[in-house]
Amino acid sequence: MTVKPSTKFFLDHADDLKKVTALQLIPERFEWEKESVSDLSPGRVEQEIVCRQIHSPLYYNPEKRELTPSAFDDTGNKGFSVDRTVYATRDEIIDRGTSRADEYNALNVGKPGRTLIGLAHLETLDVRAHVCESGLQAFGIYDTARPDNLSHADICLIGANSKKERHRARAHLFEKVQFELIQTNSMPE
Amino acid sequence: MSLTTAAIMLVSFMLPPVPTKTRNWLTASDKVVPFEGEDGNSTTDESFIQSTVRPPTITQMTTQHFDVLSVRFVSAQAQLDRYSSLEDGWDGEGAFAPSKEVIATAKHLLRCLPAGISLPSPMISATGEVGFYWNNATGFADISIEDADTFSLFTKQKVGEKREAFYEGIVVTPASVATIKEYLAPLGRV
Repeated sequence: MTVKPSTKFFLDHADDLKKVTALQLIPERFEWEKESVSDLSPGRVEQEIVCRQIHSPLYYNPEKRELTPSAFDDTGNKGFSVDRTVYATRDEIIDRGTSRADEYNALNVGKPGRTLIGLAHLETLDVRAHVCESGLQAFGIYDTARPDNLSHADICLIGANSKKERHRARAHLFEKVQFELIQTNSMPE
Repeated sequence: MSLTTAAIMLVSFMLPPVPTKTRNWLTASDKVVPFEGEDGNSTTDESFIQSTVRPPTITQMTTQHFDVLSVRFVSAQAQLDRYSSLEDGWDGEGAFAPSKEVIATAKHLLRCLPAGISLPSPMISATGEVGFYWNNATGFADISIEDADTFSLFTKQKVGEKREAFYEGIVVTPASVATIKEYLAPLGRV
C-alpha cells in the first residue's frame, strides 16, 4: 500500500525538534494542509477548537494572568501540539496532560516536577486567518493523529521563517488564545 | 533593616535619577502604594502622586516607601535569574537553556530602559531565547534578545490603523535602548 508523501513526512518527523523547519522546505505543504496526513486520523482539521496543554509555569505570566507570547514559539520548530476538542473531551485532555506530567516526574526524580497548569484554546478559523506579509497563509494545521491520541494535531508556521514573521505569528496567537488556568499550586513566585 | 528593603534600596541607587515621576510610569495594573508626604499624612490618591512629584531620598525611605517600579524591576531581574538556572530539557520536551550571555544582555537591556515606559514582562521560549513583552488594550510589543549584544523589537497597534513595525539587530546600549520609547509611542500606554 502506497503511503502518501504527507503521511510519510509526518511519520518520519514525529519526534523531530525541527519538524517545521523541514516542512517549510516542502512546496506541497499548503496542499497537504487541506488533506488528512494521518491514516489514524478521523479526518483533516476543519473549523474546530483545538486545545494546547500547558505544563511549564514559565509560559504563564501570573501578574497578567496570561500566557507569554513565547509559549507559541513551538509553531516554528517542532510543531505546536494540540488536541482537537471535536474528538477529545476536556476531561480526556486533562487526564492525558496529567499523565504526561506524572510520567515525566517518575523518570526525572530530583528535577523540578511538572504539572498541567492550564489549557490554551484556539479556534482554527482564527489560526488560519493569520496571513504573512507576502500574502501566504501563515499557519498550517495538520491532523497528526497518534496511536495513543487520535485527536492530536500540529499547528506549524508554514508561510515564512523570517524573524519578523515569527514575531507576528506568535503575537497573533497570543491575541487569539483563550487560556484556562487549571493548577494554581505550582505557579512561580 | 530586612534583606528585602536593603535590596530595594540598593536597586534604587543603581537606577538612573528620576527628576519627576509622571503618571505614565504607572500602568493600569499597578497598585498605588501609600506615600507619606512632608506633612506626615499618607494617601493612596493617585492624583497626589501626579501633583506632588519628587524623588525619594534616603532619609524618606522606610519599609512603607516601596517604589512600585523598583519592586517590579527586582521581580523582573529575579525572573531572569530563574532563567539562568535552567538546564536543557527544562520544559520536559527538549527545551534549551538560555546562554549566560543572553541573560546578561537581557538584564543590561532592562537596566537601560528609559524613563516614561512601563517595565515589560520577561519571557523565555523552548529555543532558549529570552525576551520581554508589553501588552494592553491599545498595543502589543515584544523584544527578543538575539545574541550577546543585540535585540529585535516588534510592535503592533491594536486600535486605529493597527500598524506593525519591526526593528532588528539593535545593539544594547543606553542610547539605542532609549529609542524603544520612541518605537512604543504609537502604541499608546503599554
